[in-house]
Amino acid sequence: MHSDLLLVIVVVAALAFDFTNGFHDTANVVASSISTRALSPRTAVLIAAALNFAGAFISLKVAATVATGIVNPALVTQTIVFAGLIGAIVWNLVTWFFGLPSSSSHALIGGVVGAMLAAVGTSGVEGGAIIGKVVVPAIVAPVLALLVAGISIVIIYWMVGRRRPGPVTKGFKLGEIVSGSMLALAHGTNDAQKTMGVISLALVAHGSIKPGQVPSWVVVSSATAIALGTYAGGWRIIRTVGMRIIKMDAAQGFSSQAAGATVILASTHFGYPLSTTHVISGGVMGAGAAKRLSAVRWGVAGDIALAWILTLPGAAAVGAGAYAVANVFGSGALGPLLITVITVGVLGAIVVGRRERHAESARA
Amino acid sequence: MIAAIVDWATIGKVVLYSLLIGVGVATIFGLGVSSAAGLQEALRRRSTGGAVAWALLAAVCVAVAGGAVVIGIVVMSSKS
Repeated sequence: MHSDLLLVIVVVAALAFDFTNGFHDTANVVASSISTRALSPRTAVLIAAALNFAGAFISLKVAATVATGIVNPALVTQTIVFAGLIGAIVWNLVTWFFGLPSSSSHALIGGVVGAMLAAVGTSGVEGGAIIGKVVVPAIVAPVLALLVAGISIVIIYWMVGRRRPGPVTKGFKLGEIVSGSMLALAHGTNDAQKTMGVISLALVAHGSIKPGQVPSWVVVSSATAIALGTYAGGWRIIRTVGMRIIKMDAAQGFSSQAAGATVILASTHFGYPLSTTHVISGGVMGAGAAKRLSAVRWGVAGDIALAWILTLPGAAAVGAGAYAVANVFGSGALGPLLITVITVGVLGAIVVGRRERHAESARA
Repeated sequence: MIAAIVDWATIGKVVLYSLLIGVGVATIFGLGVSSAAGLQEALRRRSTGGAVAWALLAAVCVAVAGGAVVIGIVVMSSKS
């Protein structure tokens, strides 16, 4: 009975994380299209939500990596999964609060690893897999996207340099719609699977399924949560990615999105749980730097890089803390239930307080 | 130690595929946009031959770029 209630709490927390993932990462998918006016904000977010939903059904390879490759599934308990999710949700909302496009994927992995370390120590964590499948791709992917976008934009500028700007801009705006759609699809394939992986971990710990299985209801509910989160939108981060890193033209928007989509699809194909945020931010920087190095606001890029570096340890610390608190109340559902209530209360107060301050400053 | 942990061969494939496909598709689409702009200029000059050539090149580029998108989705779904 306690175990069933705990499973329900974990699944709800996982879907809440998935919602924040869509909410947080909408920026990556739609920022370029919105900032270059290829699409209206509402249309861009609607397309992204629909394609995130569809993308979640395409592949389950990353879900398997998250479920079995990062921590030892035999040692996972539902409380560990819950604490990991709390770490990820808190980190996502803190970085959203500051408008920083950090990685939801790394927040999730960091949270689960932190909770595992607090629960069973280093024996529960697949250190080699974390370095090989998370840390190294996290360094390679944004550099790769930067290179792909940079080389692409140099070639594109060379090809269209003597053409009239009107038709060229119109063409690349159309291209942005296609490349942005591919990016949304890639995001759905990559990010929704992480939630599927975590729910699967909880189901394995509950004894409902065997490691490596992903039930259909998990796929459908994860796809729905990420699509709803995407539709709700994270406008603060859209501003950072779409306008604060560089001031983009349509060709740069197209090349950064095409580079991001290609790198994410290639990585997902080989089962790497990649950060969409890192990839698209790298693409935007590449498209800006290839035009002119000073076009990139390196101070903003530095803030983003700092958030990336802090994500794994930050989410791990929150995950470990959440596990320690939950463990005080034993292995039942009471600890997670209390932590959920406290987390929702604190985060809700922060969000409402922020909105009230915005409303006051708007009135003034 | 890291060299032993990391599957560099697979990461190398990710890098190679991303560079080839990413730059390739962007270049082909860029050529398509350039050709479409060339088509407009040829029509304004009333150059029928030029217009036909630019239209053909634009159509081929858009078809190739569209094909790449479809192939990308098919490859993704075949790995599920």
